[in-house]
Amino acid sequence: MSEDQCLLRRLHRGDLDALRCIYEKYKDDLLTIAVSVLCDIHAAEDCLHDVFVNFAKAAGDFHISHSLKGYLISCVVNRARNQLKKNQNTSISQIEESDLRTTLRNPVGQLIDNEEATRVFQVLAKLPNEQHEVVALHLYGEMKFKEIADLLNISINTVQSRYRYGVEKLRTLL
Amino acid sequence: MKSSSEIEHLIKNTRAKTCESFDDHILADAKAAFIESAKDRPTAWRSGLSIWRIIMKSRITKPFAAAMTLIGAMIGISHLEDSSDFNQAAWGRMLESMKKMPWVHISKKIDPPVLYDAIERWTCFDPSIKIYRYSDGTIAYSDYSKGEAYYYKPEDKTITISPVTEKYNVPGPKSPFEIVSEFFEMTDKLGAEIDHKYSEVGGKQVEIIESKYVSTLGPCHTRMIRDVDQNLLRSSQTTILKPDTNEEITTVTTYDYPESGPRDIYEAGAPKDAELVDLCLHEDVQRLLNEVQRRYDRGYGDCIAMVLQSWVNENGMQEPWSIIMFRQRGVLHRMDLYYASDIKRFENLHDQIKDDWPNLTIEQMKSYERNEATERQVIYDGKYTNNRFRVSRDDVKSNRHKGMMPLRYGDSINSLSWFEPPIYGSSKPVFRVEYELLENDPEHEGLIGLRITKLPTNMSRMIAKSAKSDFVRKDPVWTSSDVSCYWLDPSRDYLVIEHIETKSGRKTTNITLETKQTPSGQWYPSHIRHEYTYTLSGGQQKVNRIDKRIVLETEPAFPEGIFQADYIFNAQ
Repeated sequence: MSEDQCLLRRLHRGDLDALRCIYEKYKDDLLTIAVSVLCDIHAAEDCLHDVFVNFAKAAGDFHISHSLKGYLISCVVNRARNQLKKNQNTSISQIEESDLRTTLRNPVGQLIDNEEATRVFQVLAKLPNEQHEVVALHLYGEMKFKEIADLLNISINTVQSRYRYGVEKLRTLL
Repeated sequence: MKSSSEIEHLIKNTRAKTCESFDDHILADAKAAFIESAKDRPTAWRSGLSIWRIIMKSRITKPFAAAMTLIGAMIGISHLEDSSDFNQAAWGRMLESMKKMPWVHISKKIDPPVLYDAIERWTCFDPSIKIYRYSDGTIAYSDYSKGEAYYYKPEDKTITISPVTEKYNVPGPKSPFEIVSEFFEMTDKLGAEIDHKYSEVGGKQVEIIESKYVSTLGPCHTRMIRDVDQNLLRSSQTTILKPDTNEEITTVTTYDYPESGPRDIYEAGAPKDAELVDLCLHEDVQRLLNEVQRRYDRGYGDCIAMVLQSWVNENGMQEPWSIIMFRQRGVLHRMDLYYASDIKRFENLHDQIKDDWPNLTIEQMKSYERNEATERQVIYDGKYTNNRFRVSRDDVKSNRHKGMMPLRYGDSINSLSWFEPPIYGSSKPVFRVEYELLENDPEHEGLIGLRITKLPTNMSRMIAKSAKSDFVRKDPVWTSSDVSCYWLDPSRDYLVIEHIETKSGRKTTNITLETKQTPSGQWYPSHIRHEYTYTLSGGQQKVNRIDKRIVLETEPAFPEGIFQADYIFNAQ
């Protein structure tokens, strides 16, 4: 039985510590993906909050079919995409670099801890959404192209080409 | 230009990290959501969560939170200080060190001494245990993981055992780390002057922070000492100068971090021969309260409830008074109260509603709602409870609390249908709560009666005596017994059909005159008569009557953003 399955089983029995373990295990990955999609640390925190609280709510009935991580990532991506749709008026491409710098910093400047990291997120934000998403899922979520294709409901060839174009563009920007 | 693999490597190593205050917040919300959903599952599944079946209200963590504000103070101060030699990082790491300590033990000494205060506290964060020793010898030992609280009272040498829960410890902070953000706001407002230096105390290197600020109590001077080697807070001293009497009050608090704390109330100092008084609920009472709590928590799902409240004059005529619009979607909710009476002094909806009263529809009311006319609002947006209330036409106050605060009677359809057992609290050193099922009554045929009595203790009277001191905690003081009698109808979803409450000599009665069912068959009260009796200064008794008509719409559509505090009704 995998560690995730053990944690879920404990959670089914009402063990709240298992909930904490799942959170600790995936929080940074999920936050990173949310930041990379939303380019706003506050919005990303809200996204992670909502996803995890919803997961906790449904956890008693939750049965793992693929991977827990994949499930959580897909929740984060879907929620973040919905958020982006809502905020179409302030699409990422329209955000000025100075604004982005601000949105990527929390009040105590701890979440994204250095200038280089801020710059990488800024550059990622310049990618078209579809390339950006695939790059984030593959590199931060460590998801295979096939898994990403299933998650986004697109063909694996599309995933691969988006990833390739995305990385090529990043090469010119970084 | 970097190669593709270099780019991949660079991105992979660029990560965002959550911070601890955020983790605490998200985990608290997730746990609450998990437990909330657990209530709908079979009992056996919930065996590990029995604490949640227990229905209590606890303010026991408040004194500890107040003490820990000092710790928050340090962070707040270090955050505000721009001087580069101020060791912000060290103070931040100190919090890290403290969090890893299994137990925190705090001793406090106030000069001049006060009659009643917690002078010693132990806290364990995991499992959640809190112990207080008071100046009169009272000891409170609360093990939240087991849902049990023990109170030793020296005056009668008894140990009371009662259930306890942390359910309503919101909006107070749950750990020292949650205090930090709240303290930022406070120190900003206070504009503290800060100084710091390194020194040696008892051969140990310490960092001393001195801060001066003016609080609501008067000018304050706080001095805190951090052990540099162990990176732990060791002591703090606060001196307050009372402006009215020029009296100085000094509080010295010391902190230590033992590997283990008292395992039970006896190890905390209660004598072994103290008499045990078990106030845990009788099985029948517990079962009934579970039924009520379960329905209260579930409510009517997504809904809009409109409550039209009218004054009933001596001739039985109804005059419009106010309208409550309660909306709920999932855990989100909002309550907006509007005046409907003919008072020109305030913004109100009298002109719009007077022709249709009391047969106003929800659709009509929606079109009349406007932000300027709200007298009171409570909005829970999923993270914070936002309160807003009008003091006068031009003076509107607002505040915000982390987490969901309980709604008061009448503010939600749930509170009109049932009652929430935790509002009565659990037995504490200052009062005890007794629950008793009432015998069958021919006048309440088919109904189940429950009496809840809240009795003051000697300590409560003692606090009342010392209430003049500004430095005594400000929890409510009970000096007389409060009695509530509920008659519930098990055939109609345990609705409260009658509730009579006697509190501080004032009698309040709520009688459900009419009930209706939702399309899914759930019962709700559609007409309630509320009466309260009070005594005028001349000794004359007066009765006020309020008529409440409730219109309920289930599964409504909500406009986007309506559960946010900044939502504007009928925006043009």
